[in-house]
Amino acid sequence: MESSSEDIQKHVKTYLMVGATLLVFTGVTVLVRTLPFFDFGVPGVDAPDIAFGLVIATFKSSLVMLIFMHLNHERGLIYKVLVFTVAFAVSLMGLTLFAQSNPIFPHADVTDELHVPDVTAADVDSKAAPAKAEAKH
Amino acid sequence: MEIPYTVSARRDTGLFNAKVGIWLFLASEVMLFGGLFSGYIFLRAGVRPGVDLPWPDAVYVHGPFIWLGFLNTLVLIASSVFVVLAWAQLKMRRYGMYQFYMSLVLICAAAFMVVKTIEYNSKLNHHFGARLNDGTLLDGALVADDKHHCPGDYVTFEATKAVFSLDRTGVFRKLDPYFLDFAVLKDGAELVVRAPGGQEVRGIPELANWLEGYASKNPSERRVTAEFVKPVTFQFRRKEVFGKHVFADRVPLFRGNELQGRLIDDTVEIEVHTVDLQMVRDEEKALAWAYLGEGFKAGYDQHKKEKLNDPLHRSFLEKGGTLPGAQLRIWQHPHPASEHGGEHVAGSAHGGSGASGHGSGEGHGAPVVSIKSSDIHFMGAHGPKFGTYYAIYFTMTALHGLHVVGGALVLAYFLFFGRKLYRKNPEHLANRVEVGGLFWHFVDLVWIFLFPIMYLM
Repeated sequence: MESSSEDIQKHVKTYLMVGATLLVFTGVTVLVRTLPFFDFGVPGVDAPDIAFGLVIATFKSSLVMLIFMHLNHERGLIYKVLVFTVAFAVSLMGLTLFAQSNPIFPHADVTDELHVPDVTAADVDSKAAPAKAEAKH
Repeated sequence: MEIPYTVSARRDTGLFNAKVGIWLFLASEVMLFGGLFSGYIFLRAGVRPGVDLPWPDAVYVHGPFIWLGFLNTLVLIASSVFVVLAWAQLKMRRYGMYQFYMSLVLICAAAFMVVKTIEYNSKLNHHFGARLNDGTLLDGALVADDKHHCPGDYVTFEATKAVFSLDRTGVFRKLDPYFLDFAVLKDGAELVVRAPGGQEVRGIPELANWLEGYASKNPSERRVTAEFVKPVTFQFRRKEVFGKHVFADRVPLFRGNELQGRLIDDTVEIEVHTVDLQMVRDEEKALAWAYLGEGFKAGYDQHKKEKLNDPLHRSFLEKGGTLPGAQLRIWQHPHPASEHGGEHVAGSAHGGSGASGHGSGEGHGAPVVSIKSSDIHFMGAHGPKFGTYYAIYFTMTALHGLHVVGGALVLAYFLFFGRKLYRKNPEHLANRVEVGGLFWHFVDLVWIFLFPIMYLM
């Protein structure tokens, strides 16, 4: 653990650089949402966009944990505690996702589903009013 | 005796006590927020298109919304940097610099809460949406009535009689003419009531006194009816109505009071910023057009065509992709159709019933509609009960906000009362600040995940 003044002084520069990196990547996160270039998959927010956003968030949080919270040179007991934490947190997310994929009564209560027709290339070319284009589907 | 290992580390673990303690605590906090995040995933992934109410698109919810969240993220990241620098200064025994950086941390915390207040105020007091019976969502803001300072969801009721509750139990032990306080008397009319005994009571203070006297003289009576000498027209917000249900001949109020008479107007005036037809069966016959007019319907068709033809959507569709049709049905900044495609015509709507062009002073000419109560399925501000997204947004950001406040209080204690411990044992203070800083970093971590999830997805 750092105990001398010089060691800490060296780390101050690291803290500032990591801070700047975090600020930059926060800007990237917003750009992912607002710039069409970063819109992966289907336009609008869908799974690839969410995954990309979460990857950036995970990268940023790793920086905070390893460098600001000193986890890069922490003691064994702390790591052991955190292994359990990660295991339980992952199980928590996993359980909810598992419940999604194996429901007990899948949509049994749905009797009146509204289906908005999908939009394809044919609708772009059509010069007629969009209402007519949707009637095709 | 001194508690051992508050400053120096134990030989076997290499850690001082507080460090073990804080990491155990943070592990439990991970489970707390993890549970809420997994709840969010459950709710978000479980939205059934066409069945459940659509998840609001963050941009459509409120344009500047993203930028306020972004600002808050920058503020918290800066505060994280400052707290670790404050600890570093303390380790280097530079107390003045430690105070400087710790003050910056507290300033950032205050800034975060100020921005949060602005956001919550905007959602709870400014924004308002109404979902109509056919599934149309007209979202925007209530139009304020400058004369009476009543927002657009006010009820106008002409009362001939008032029934006062004399219930002295519970919270309302003291008889208070509460409803008379909030009710705005139309045109400054004076309140004159004929009491059961026949005498005339004039004005609100006298009415309050008379009610007090009547209640004390008749302790077994629960209610008293008094007639208005001349019918009085009241205007009050819908939330003042008990159960929010207004009848044609009476209005039940809180505290057991009731007005009897004739309902004049209970339409809701909304300035429309977004028209959302995702849940409507037939777009052509949507109630939105009944209120906005055919000019807006043409504008909507134009908007859909423009969206299909913009570079992003066009290139995606021409490569064989399929878009969910519901995306096109969200129309922000509605305007009547213009001759030149793509041009934004801000201004009045012509035709249709009830649509007028004046905005509420925001200057962007958004259409204002007067919606009949009978057409409304539900309505409200963008508060927790407006939808699942809002419920979880408020739950998580408010819980996080409480953590920010709590952490700031602890760090403030170390800033303002640290000198004594610094003089006695500076390493002990450094350890305490490090541990407080770890909590602060955790709070920042939660926000790093909350921001993209709540604001961007």
